[in-house]
Amino acid sequence: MIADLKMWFRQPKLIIMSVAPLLIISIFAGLFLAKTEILPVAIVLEDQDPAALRLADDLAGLKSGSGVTWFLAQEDDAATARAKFEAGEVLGLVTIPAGLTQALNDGQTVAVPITINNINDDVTKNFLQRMQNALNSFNEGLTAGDATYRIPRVDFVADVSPDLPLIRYLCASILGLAMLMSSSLAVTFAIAREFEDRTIKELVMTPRLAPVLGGKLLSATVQALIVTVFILLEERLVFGFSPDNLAAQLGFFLWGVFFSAGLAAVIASVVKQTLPAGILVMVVNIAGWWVAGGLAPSEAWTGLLRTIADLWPGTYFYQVYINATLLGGVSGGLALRNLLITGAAGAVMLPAAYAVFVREAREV
Amino acid sequence: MKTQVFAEIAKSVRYWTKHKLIALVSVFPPLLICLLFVGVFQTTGIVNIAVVNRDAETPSVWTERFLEVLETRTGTIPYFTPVFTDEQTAQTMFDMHETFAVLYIPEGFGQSVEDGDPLSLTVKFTAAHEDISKNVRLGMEARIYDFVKLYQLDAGARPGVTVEENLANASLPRASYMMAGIMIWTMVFFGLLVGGALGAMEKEGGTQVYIQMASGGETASLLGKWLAAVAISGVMLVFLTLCYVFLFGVSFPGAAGVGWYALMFILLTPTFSLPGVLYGMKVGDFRLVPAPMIIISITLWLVSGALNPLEFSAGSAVFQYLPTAAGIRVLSYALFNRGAQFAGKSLLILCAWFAGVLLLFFGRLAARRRKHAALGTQAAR
Repeated sequence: MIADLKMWFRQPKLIIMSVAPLLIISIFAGLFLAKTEILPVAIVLEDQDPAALRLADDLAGLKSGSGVTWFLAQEDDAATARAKFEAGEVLGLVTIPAGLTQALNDGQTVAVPITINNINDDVTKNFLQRMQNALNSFNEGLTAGDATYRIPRVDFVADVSPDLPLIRYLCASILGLAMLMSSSLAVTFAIAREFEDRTIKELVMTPRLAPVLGGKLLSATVQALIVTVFILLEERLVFGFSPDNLAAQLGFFLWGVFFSAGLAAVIASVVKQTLPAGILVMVVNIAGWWVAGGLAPSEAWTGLLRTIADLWPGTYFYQVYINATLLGGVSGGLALRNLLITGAAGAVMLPAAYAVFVREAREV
Repeated sequence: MKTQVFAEIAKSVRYWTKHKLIALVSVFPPLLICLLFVGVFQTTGIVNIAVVNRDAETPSVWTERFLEVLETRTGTIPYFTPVFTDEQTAQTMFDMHETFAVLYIPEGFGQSVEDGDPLSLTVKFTAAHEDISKNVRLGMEARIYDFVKLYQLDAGARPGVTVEENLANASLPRASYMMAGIMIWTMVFFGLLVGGALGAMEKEGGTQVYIQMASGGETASLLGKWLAAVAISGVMLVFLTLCYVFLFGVSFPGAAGVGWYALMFILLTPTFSLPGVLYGMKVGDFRLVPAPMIIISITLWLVSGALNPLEFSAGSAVFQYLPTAAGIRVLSYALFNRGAQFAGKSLLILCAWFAGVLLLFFGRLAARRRKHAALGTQAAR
């Protein structure tokens, strides 16, 4: 164990390989993927009718559950708005027709024309839903003539309030990745190095290889803990994130090490070279993280990706880890089921890793 | 010189065909990226929602109508797949993450709509992920809008405001839109990776010294590897493009679309393969090539409008001058007719980068000549 730790500290290349991918994913996901789209829109008021002004206010003022404004609304005259739309400066053009109050008092349904630069269907969907949200807000409690009209509304009851911004989810998932990937890489480097440096021949001479592997696992745990704490501090400093259940993090960390070490040991024993094995382990971990809910909960997938996510045991680690880290805990049933699945995967992989390691070591 | 360059190209192609693992390393990341990025965006949009109908015992036409609207697959996604269940099962589904939300329809809901004073619905949902929360909230708002429009506003039962949408362009799924970015990233990645691999092969094989000794050997080697990297990238891009077409549904709008695609390759791949070759020559070890190339190319891709249009992304004022951003804009215009207003400027940006790489090539040659001349003078002294 001590020899492996010394080796790790003396080789900056290995430390960089352990930390750099996590840092890069963290920084880029945080800076570029965590932004909620605020859609730029030009609003043309054909007159200064009070109802039209109220509708324009609804469009400009509505926010998401986490407090992000839906639209970046700019009031313009028709020609300017059209010019902005054609120059690609705004995504949509909303024209609120003249005489809105009178038309509503007359009992009419008034259509508000919008033109959307349909860049892609997802952006258009967001645009339309936000418009519909604003119109619901306008139509609710609308007083026209002597009557007030109501529509069904929804009381949204979330498990946390306000809705958590996406950056928190990404930070939690990347911290989970840090636990699994850093322990996998540490195990990989410790084992593959023995094959690469041919020191495996000396190791094979020992009567029992289990303590050797155990020592490597302990060394990997220490290395992974250092990397995970580093990523935790980075997320704290850059994004202001800290887990809701700081005390439970060590338990999750040990769970992650137990779950991920076996597969990494198999890969390292088979590939036998530090860099290729490290890259392969990295790819497996990052792809597994992605499929398991790295960017969004895997329950949201359908089709092939959902099947892959359901079959990949890592999904069950991330599901509990991310939710517990963000919300402080998960239901006992979910924790137990997922602990059993990942525990079984880890319990199968560790003996398998030992068997593969012994076989490959004796063949050298 | 010409013979030396051709020999270098032939040698590079032989190296590539002999090292199939490198070819595999090159092809695997683009396919993985496609599966992960495009797969994610292709497969979201239909959401299970547990529905606890507390109004079931007093059947009402309004409650039935509301549930029908909830199930419709028209209008904007997410579409809900309601799972009607009792309170306890709904709670279990929620706890076990089998559903993101539980909709509770209150007793007397239908009658209250009939009376013109609707009771509030309740939606319990998980708010741990902003995008999911947004979809739950806005998805419900969209269905309520549909309900009110269909049965009240369109029926003339009350006054109100509706939206009349007019789309400036034809429908384009987000996953399809993202393919333009992935295709550009593939060109960049191949340029860097193949260039890096070819650049590293001389040091790896211990043949670098022979090249340095031959007259004009370094120039021929650099030029030959650069051209070979472009040629090999081209062949691999054809294979990958076929994968994109048959596996991920990419389609080209006629010969012009293919022409634009080829032009992007001609401008982008050489722009990145020369730095790739130079890096490979410097490190002299292929094992040090893939990781930085993947990181650089993915970084460039992400900041260049990979997921969303660049003009609505952070830092677009600066990032629009990146060759990747310009390439994505031109290809989005060529394939999907999106962003015509940016196409001309982006093409100029690409040409400028290409010219910059040519300058880099000639600049390096000049620098090497000066260095050799200085060494010769020193030796003569």
